[in-house]
Amino acid sequence: MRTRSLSLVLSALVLSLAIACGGGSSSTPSGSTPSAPPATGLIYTNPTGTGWRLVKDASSTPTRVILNLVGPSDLKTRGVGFNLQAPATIKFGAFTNGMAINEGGVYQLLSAGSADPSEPIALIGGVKAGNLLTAGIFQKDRSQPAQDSGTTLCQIAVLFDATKGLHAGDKLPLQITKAKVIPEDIGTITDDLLTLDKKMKMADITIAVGSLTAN
Amino acid sequence: MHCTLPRPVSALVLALAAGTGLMTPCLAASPTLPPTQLAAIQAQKPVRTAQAVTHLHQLRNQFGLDARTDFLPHQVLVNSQGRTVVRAHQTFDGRRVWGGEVITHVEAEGQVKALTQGLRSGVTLAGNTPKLSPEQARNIALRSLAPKGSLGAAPKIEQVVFPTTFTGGFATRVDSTRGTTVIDRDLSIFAKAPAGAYVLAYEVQTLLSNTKDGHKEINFIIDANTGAILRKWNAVQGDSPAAGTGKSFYRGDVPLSTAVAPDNTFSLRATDRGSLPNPFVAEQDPTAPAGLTMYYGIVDFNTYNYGFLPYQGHATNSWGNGTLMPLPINPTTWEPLLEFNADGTLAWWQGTMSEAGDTTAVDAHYGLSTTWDFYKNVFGRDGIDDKGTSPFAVVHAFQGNGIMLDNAFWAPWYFGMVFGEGSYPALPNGYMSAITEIDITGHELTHGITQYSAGLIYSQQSGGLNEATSDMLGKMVQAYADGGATGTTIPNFPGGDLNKWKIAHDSAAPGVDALRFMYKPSLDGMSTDCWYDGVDLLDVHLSSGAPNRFFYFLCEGASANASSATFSPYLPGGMTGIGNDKAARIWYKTLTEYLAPDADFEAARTASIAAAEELHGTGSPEATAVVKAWAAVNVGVAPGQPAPVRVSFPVVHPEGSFIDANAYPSGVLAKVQFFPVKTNVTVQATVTNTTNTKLTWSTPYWSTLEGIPAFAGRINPDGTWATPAFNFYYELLNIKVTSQADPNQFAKSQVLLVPADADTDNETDALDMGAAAMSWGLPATPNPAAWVAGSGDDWSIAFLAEALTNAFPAK
Ligand SMILES: [Zn+2]
Repeated sequence: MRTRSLSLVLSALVLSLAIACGGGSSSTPSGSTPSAPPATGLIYTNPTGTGWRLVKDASSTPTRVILNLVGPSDLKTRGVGFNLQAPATIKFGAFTNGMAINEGGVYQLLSAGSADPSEPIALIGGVKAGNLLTAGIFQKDRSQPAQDSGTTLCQIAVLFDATKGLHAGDKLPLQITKAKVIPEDIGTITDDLLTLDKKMKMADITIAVGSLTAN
Repeated sequence: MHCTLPRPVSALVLALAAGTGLMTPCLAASPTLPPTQLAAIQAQKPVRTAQAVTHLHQLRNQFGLDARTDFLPHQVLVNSQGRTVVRAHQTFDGRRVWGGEVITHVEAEGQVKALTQGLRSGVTLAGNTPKLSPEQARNIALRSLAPKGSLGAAPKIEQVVFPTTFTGGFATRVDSTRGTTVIDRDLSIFAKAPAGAYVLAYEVQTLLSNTKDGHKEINFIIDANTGAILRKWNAVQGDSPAAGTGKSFYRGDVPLSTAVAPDNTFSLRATDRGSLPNPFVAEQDPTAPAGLTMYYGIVDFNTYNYGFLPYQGHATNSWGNGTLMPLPINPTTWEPLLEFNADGTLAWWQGTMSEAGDTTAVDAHYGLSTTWDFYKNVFGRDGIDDKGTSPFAVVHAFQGNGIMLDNAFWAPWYFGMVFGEGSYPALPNGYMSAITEIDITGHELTHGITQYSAGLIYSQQSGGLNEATSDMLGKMVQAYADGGATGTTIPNFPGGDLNKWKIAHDSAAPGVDALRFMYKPSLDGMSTDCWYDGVDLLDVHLSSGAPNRFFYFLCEGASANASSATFSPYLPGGMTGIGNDKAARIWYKTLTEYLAPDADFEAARTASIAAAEELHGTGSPEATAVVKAWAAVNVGVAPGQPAPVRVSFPVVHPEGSFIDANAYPSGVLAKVQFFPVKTNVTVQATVTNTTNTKLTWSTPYWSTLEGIPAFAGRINPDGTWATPAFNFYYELLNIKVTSQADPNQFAKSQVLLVPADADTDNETDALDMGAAAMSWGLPATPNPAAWVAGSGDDWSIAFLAEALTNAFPAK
């Protein structure tokens, strides 16, 4: 029994250290002044630039901010995925598909020529321990052409959580910890495995994230 | 997935012409009619069948069926009370609705009632003309079949209306070497469920019987518009979980019904059993005579196809010598020992025509003749199809690569049976001697009876009932033979002789003891003694344990002594049995007059109570015994018992999902959960009928033998589980959860651990889906980890989606 309770303490320690390293302040909202009124919603300010970025969708409300993932307009890709670390004081929202990601209608998720709604698609979005959103949308059929990336490729939702005691002005840092795309050239089915090995690689990208603030 | 799922007409399970309930109170036992009256009713079969169909037409509106729906009688039987039982396929525009069945009872006095639990309502089709020809459908099936040898016969093709809820998918099988469940990649298909609830389809039946493929009867449903394979299954009903005067091996000197040729030679053909020729034999040889016939297995070296030749041309009419022929294998080289005909094109096992080789044929011929007589004399049934069609049996059968078969099976394509040679005692660690013991011959022929009556579908609980029916009635054939194989009643076994309730006790090797133990099925370490949530996941030879034990209790009673092998914790007070004869009649009536093809244990309980009430009256000791015997296997409760605690796993793959399907009815895999390896997940189960909802979780285990851990960690009391590093993507882990309020109540499920780090970056996340997507459609891939389901197709996408969704829910 003694050994067991010791190891519990140890794992709790490791966990809190990991959170401290994560950069986000999870329990104490930062930037708030003691006199700030309680927050009732969120404000998202878009990042600048024309590269990969998360921009606010017009359908957003103060308590449900929809973020569109948009890529560079001169780039063709076959899919994109990313992990987004959020503080514990906000939640990620689900869409009507039951997932924490909504497709943008650009990538062709079904195999070429298929109109079968029950075909498995490479679309996935969920929340890992520590409030890390993991989301991805990919074309599986290489006979589907790569798509222009300069428009909304997918959406995620950030929810205001009234139970977390946020105050107006509290900053809620969002951090992309990993992001990759399937590039246009991933080889062809007739390539030898060595060639495919070189080409079938997802490419790192940097996604610019705006600032999220309680309001 | 579908706008409307086809469902049985549940509100009208019993639609009665007279408007009275079937379970009317104080129902008196129906009397048995004298032979003259029965003969008169037999003569009216066509009229009464037409009457049944007319009645169904009148009820169409009530069933929610329109005029395009019709009913095609395929099996008509007159029981000893004078009831005509008409089983009819549901049809739509003249095509069979797959799985659609209605049973109509026309009573002796003419009242008609319909049992509609097998009917399917709301049938519609998008179009009425198939885009594919039958030939195209056949070619699609053959491409999937990928035979190594040649076909045993041209495929049979029928256009059907297919309920798409049965589309799929993901098939499992028992790996018999370890008794554990694995994904069956041969029978798994990735079917894209069509959008409509019903589609036009082709059912393609194939036969393989050659040295490269062995004996297989694989059937397909091919979408007649898209060519998609919507289902694929094996139609052979095998007996494996493992599986004149004649001197028999098992029963001493036995009488044999044989035929004599003009040249005064004899053959093992019972001309008095079977009046119509066997359809498969007649196709090859239109002059082949009728009658139950014994054959031996051959190989045609022109085609490498298996075949068979009759035991004929015998100089005397005495057969066999009471010993078995030696295993025809060279013990040093393991080469098969063959004998050839003059031109060298045909071969058979060495010794097949020796006296010892005849012995196996003697056992099979006696056993099947006695089974035939049992059905004729006790139940008035004219053979398997009640029309006198002749079955046949092949002994000394070949089963690929010279391996001697420890098994026997009913082969629907043949309208016949195949009996294995058995590996014991030739191999010291062999499993069975010749698989021709009388309860096995009775078992296999009964598979034919089931096919031509309830048609119980050979998977899940209906499959368990199918297997149990063969064990029950096969055992009754043994009792009938023990009693002299004459008369119209079935004697009891000697009281307390549990050896009589072991299946294949005399043919199993001494260390094996028996294939199955009807009085306590779990003695084999794999079968179940009771129903529980998850029993559908068992192989049908193991889930049969619950109905087998029910039948034992009904015949012999249950002990009130907790240390007895015939004690049930679900009926601790025990019960008194009603004897073999009454029990067998109740079950035969249940099988032939009540059960629909997709019946589960609960439906079998209801049906057998109705059958017992009909035979013996409502509230009769016999009807009560049926209720108690089911309660003793955890199906329903006995009078006075409280509602039992129930433990169950949630459905995670709803009806029609690709993982759930590939079995009829769907549901078997509905509760199998997919998780990524090396991830913290939560397994859930629910408890009802108690305030104490605490659960005890088993250690995940591979084998169906509980207690053999899979080194997959522990599930915590709250269901949380750190999944292990584990990359057997084909292997299903078993889990069991037990109620702390009632430790006799438990549920079992399976989980599939998916090696989800498809991009091998040591993190399981959505980006892994990108790696799997890039490998889609590739016959080979530079990154094997991207094939999380073992291949670069929709399986990998779907497995990954299931696992990631389960592990990382949207919050
Ligand atoms: Zn069987």
